Amino acid sequence: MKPRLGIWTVLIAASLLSAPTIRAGHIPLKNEPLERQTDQDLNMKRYVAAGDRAYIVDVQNGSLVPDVSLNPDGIGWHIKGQMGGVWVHPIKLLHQFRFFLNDNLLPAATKFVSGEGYVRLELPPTGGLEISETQFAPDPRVTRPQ
Amino acid sequence: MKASALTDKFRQDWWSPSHGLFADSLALSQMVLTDPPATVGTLPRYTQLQQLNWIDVAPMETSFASVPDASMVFPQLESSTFTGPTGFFQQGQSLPAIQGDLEASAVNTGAMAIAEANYGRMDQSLRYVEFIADELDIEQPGALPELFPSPGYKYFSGGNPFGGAMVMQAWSSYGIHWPLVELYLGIKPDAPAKTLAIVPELPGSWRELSIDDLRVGSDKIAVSVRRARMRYITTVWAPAGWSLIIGYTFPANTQVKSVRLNRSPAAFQIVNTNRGEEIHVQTNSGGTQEVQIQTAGGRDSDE
Repeated sequence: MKPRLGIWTVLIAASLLSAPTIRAGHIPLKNEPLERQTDQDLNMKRYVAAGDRAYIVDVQNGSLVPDVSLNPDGIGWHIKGQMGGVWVHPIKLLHQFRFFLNDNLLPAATKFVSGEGYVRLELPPTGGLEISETQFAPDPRVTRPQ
Repeated sequence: MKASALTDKFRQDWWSPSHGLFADSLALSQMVLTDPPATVGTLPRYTQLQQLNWIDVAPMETSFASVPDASMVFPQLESSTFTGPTGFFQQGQSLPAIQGDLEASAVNTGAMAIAEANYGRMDQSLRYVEFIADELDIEQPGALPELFPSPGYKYFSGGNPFGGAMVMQAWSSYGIHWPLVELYLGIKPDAPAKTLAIVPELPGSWRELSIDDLRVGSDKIAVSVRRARMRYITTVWAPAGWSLIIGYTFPANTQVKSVRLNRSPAAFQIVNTNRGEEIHVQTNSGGTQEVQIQTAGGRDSDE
């Protein structure tokens, strides 16, 4: 097996924003995607998107490193301030990454969605585009029982 | 013999009649200077400590406690000493002696959900299951956290919102999966022996519960339990090759009027356990097996 960068982050300018998602506290119907979402307090909530070999720990607005006013120490208690970012153990690959559109930093996400094996950060309309960022970390092989 | 001797010894060491609780730890009554095993070996008895730690639930979580002892303990564990508005505390509070941390957390709330169901206290069990389910979206939607918002642990309000408890904690689903599969649906497999017991018990407010595609050994099974008035129907789909026990769990002294297997009258056993009276019907797997039990009275007034 060739070594690969284990976590992919995909920027999609598309119609994903119109995909139906599940409000917190709502039980999904059978034909609804197994997604749950929130638009509350994103700058104070963490998330994890993980595969067997790589994972990301981030803030739900996509900032990766929280505002100093909210938390001078960053994400992490056991290893103070150092547990966020993109990890491919034993390497911490990235402490932070950011996306720019025409040299302008993209705004913070305003909606966060958890799905089956992925997360999606939805950004406010920017430069005439609807922008969302889907993150997942593929597993090295599929071993699901049939 | 050995098991009952150990149980008696455990109760002698740990049961505290003055509290109506099991001690949460045992202490030595003297300083140990150089040789702990030698010192311990000479003590006639340990000193019981009661610090209202959540481990008080362990003798019921393991179904180790007798029914009379458990029935003294549970009302205390359910009270505001140990249980807050969002879950079971890591350490309860009894002022002025014990301040407690008043932090409700997932895994010990799950231990209570399982403990209650082990003694047939299904409505109380469901209260703890729902405490856990209610926190599914507290931080990352769909990911159960380690700690719940509670008097001793605040979310999103100053302090250090990113340096606290886990955002996502695998063991937090213990109090959902385990009670629902092993106790509400009552599925207890012994895959190497190819035996499978399915003896459900539902909370009073639930009429049905089912599970599909459950892997047991190398097979997949499905189980459904339904309750209507005084009829209790347990249905099992399993491939051939398993010895099955199918039934339902009732409070002690329930009057069973009829027991049918696949619509024909069936022989059955009444087995007394900490849960109550379990009705067991023996059969073999292959296709669908359905046990229907009719009682003279339900466990609640839902008729």
